Amino acid sequence: MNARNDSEFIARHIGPDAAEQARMLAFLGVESKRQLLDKVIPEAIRRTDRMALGPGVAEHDALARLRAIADRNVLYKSFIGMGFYGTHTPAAIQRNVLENPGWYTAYTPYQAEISQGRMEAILNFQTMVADLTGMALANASLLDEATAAAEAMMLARRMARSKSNRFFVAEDCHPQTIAVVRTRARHFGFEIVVGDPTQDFAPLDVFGALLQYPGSTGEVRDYAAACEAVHAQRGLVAVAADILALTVLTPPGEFGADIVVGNTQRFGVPLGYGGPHAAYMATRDAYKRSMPGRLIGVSVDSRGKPALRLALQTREQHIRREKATSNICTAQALLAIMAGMYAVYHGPQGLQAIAQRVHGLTARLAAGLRAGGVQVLNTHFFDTLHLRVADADAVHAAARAAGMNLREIDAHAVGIALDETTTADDVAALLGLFAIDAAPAEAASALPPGLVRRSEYLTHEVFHQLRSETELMRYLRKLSDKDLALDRAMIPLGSCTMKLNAAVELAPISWPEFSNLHPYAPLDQATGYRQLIEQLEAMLCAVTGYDAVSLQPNSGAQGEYAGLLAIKAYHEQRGQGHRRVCLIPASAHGTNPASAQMAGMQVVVVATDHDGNINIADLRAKLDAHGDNLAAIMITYPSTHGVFEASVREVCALVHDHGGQVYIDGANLNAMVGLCAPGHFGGDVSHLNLHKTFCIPHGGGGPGVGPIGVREHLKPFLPGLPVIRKADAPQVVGPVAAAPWGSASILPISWMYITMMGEMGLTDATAVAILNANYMAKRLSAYYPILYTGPNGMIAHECIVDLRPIKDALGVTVDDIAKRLIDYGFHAPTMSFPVAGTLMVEPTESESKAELDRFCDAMIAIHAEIEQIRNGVYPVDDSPLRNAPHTADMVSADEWTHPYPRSLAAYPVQSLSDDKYWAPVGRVDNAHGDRHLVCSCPPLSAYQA
Amino acid sequence: MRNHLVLTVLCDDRSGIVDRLSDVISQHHGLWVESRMASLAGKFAGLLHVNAPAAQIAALTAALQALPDITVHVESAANVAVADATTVSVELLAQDDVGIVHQLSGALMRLGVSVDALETEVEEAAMGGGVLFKARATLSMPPDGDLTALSQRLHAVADALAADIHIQADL
Repeated sequence: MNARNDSEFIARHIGPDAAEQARMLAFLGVESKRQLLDKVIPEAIRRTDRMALGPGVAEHDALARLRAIADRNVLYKSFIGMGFYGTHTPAAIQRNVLENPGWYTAYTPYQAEISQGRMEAILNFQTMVADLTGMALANASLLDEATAAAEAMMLARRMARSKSNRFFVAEDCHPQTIAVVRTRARHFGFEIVVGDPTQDFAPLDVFGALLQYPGSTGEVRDYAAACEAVHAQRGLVAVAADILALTVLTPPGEFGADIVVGNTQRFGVPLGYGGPHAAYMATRDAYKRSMPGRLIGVSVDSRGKPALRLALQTREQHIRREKATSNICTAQALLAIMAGMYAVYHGPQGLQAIAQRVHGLTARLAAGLRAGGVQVLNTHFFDTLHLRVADADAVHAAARAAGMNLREIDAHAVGIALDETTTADDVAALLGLFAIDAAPAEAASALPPGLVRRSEYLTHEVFHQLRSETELMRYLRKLSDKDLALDRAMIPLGSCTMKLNAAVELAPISWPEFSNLHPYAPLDQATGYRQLIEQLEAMLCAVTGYDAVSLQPNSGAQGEYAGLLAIKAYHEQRGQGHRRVCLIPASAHGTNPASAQMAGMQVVVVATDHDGNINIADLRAKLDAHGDNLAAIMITYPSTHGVFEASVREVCALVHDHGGQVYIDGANLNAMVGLCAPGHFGGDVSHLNLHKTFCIPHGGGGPGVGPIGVREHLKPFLPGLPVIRKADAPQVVGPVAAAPWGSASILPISWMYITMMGEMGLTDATAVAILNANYMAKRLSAYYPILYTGPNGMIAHECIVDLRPIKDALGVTVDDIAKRLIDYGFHAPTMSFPVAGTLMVEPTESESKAELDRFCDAMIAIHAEIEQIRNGVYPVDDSPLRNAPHTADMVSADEWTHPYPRSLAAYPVQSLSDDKYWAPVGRVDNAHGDRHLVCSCPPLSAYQA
Repeated sequence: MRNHLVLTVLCDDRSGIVDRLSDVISQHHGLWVESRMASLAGKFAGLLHVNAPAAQIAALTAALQALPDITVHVESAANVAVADATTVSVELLAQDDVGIVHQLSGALMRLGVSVDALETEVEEAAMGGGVLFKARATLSMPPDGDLTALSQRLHAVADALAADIHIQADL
């Protein structure tokens, strides 16, 4: 390989070339990036060492290295089950959704008007889940079944009228679910009772119960009496249900469940060694305001036509902070879309046929085993059998010799779970393990006769009309064409770091060696994953200056939770368990206080000064008041105001002096890689967002990965591993996710990025991210005030544009400007965070100067439109801003009554005549949607209204 | 020493009336004890029981009567014996919408508890945009009042408004 090739990727990732960078530096009046960084980053926090990473590697070479790692994974047929199953991802979904940047580079649909396509896809998912579970409404989505079960427990506590502190968990729930629920319960002081789900519930006195349907080892039970008994003591019943089984079994909503949770992985989403997958939660209408997670709802737009939007946002962490229903921010949108499309692809008859085929094979397997003298413990089952055997080790040894993994239950019990990919030959091979020749050709159904599903599901047209792939392909294209993702324009969202998700980084996630491994496969079959994980952990240690990393948390918010649990456990182990106060600056992201609340901590807010920095005097006062009970401070660095605070070392030292730990939120790590390291300037623990800094795409609202890095003293308090037994695994804090390494299958993306960029490339990316942001800030500052700058008048990697003076003078709102940007073909910057009435802009290093200029030109043109309001040319109420976005039918209507021309509405700048994005809907009415909540697909006729 | 006043309020019905009244009352350290309001034929009519420090009564009366476009009639009432009441704090957050103040204040009045304070504000919402309506109310409930019933009725109000609501009683 020659040197020129080795660094080739760096220039593909970084948007501006050398000439563009030189022009931007000159505009800023600095000579070099080095001089710029000296002005931006306080000397005291600069790292003095270089990151222990190699030089950059060319694309094909990095792929070859990763190929060698992938080849060390061994693919056995998995019959382990436990909530994770083999599935055939339809190629039409793999190519048109999973591998299509129109879907995977989109952001969470906060900007409703440019997100109609993916919200329609997510609405399909919600409709599918609500139908299959028999509940009124479903969210979209949760991180995995185990955390969904923990969220169900919290919902039960909020809504149950029982005063009990006790929560029942059936002993045949999946073991990872029990472990994650226990972790969560501990910090709220809930007592968990694990027991037999067939027992008499009356004497238990619980506020809720969690049941598994079918049970983890396969038994299908009627829970109607259990529901009645729990309701009688004013508790709520949560049922963790298998989504495929629900196509043939009575849905929990019909036997009295209040909450239904589960995983939708087996609807076409690869195993991926544990994730990412979309979990669901469905509940009764009465509990909708208390439901955690994202919810898409139907509203109307400015034309009175149906339009979709995120509903009931007032429950969520970005609004309610520590009073939110959960800390969920990033969910699993892309995977939910895939699972929903799997239902669209197969339709109800197709899904039922799959379920019946799986059940039929399982019934034949059971009959064959019984005929051969093997004891099958299940009375009724769907796809999973629980066998009593003399010597389980011998059975597993025989299975592995035949390339199969069965579930290890104990020394005398083995589990076998079949799935969509199981064939008659597989059944024969399974019987062969017990020296049984053949399965009977037919076997009677083993579903309980009283629990055979009678009710219809997926009756909406969308699940019936797209059987032909031509129609499906065009439907997917139609939806993605409605949206603005990174494949069309920059998405300048402050704090979200919408950088390039390179194709070469994404390609390996579809390799079967990564995508088809079961999360609980024996470790010796996953040595490739082991190597990938260890290398990525070492890379992240080198970047952050920490001593150890856990990749288990499958979102940033989950990372915050895991980090705070580590801090709490550390204090407890030192006999300081009373330390529960968590200081959080007023400007923090909403997930911080929500996570602290989830970790059972008491949130105390620290003021920020007029420059956006932590107010040291207020910090000292809070430390004096709470020092003895101080657990931690959570700070974001650079601050959420986009400034490198010079005082950060002092803040960290003060907190340490008072016995507290320092949590540094890594949301803004993109401004630090290679230049400063949180582990060096005072952090004890941080979460990193691999979906921000390290190129995992946002997927339209997930997946995310939120690993945490810790210093040596917190290493024993990293999350424990569920199910998997590994000698060196941490033991103190339980697992926070269902899979031992969280969303393992997308870790290759970050591995590829770091490997290809190398130490120099990553450091240069940071410098260019800061250069791009300062260039934009300076261009915009001639038209809009820029809030918060460092001592040299510079910002970090993002800036806050203050729109409050314009609103006060003319009534033009943040919404007006954000929606007008859509007419110019842009996704708006982050709205009203961290300061209400502002926009926060983060360009990232991946955007070229040409694209930065296109955005700045749009903002400047909008400023001119605002001046026309000031000059009385048109009133604010009938201005191009207030009427934005303008749809094609608005602009082409025969009647035009507005006091500005159609050309200004649609083509305000010349470049749009060449490439125009049309918003599919006018401005969406937020309040209407919440007050007339509809969260499943409306009939198609509603769209034609 | 606090003196009690009963006011009648009459004006054109439009948003912000309750805000303007409560601003003036709170500026004079007055407490909004109880009220009945109605919208009739495009007019807003209100009947309010307010108390305030004796030294503020004259200034409060003058300020109320000086409100433009609102006709306020003020009568002093006999001093009222106040039993030990339970204070209930209510925090409500919803997408702002036309008429939300009316619905909320109307609902609070109908609950038969007295409203000691009602603060409202609107703010541009983080991330998703739009405007949020925030209200903080302090209610007094007689000692024999049914807190569970109150809570259920407040949640019904929150359901109708699709609002997030937090209720806390200082027992």
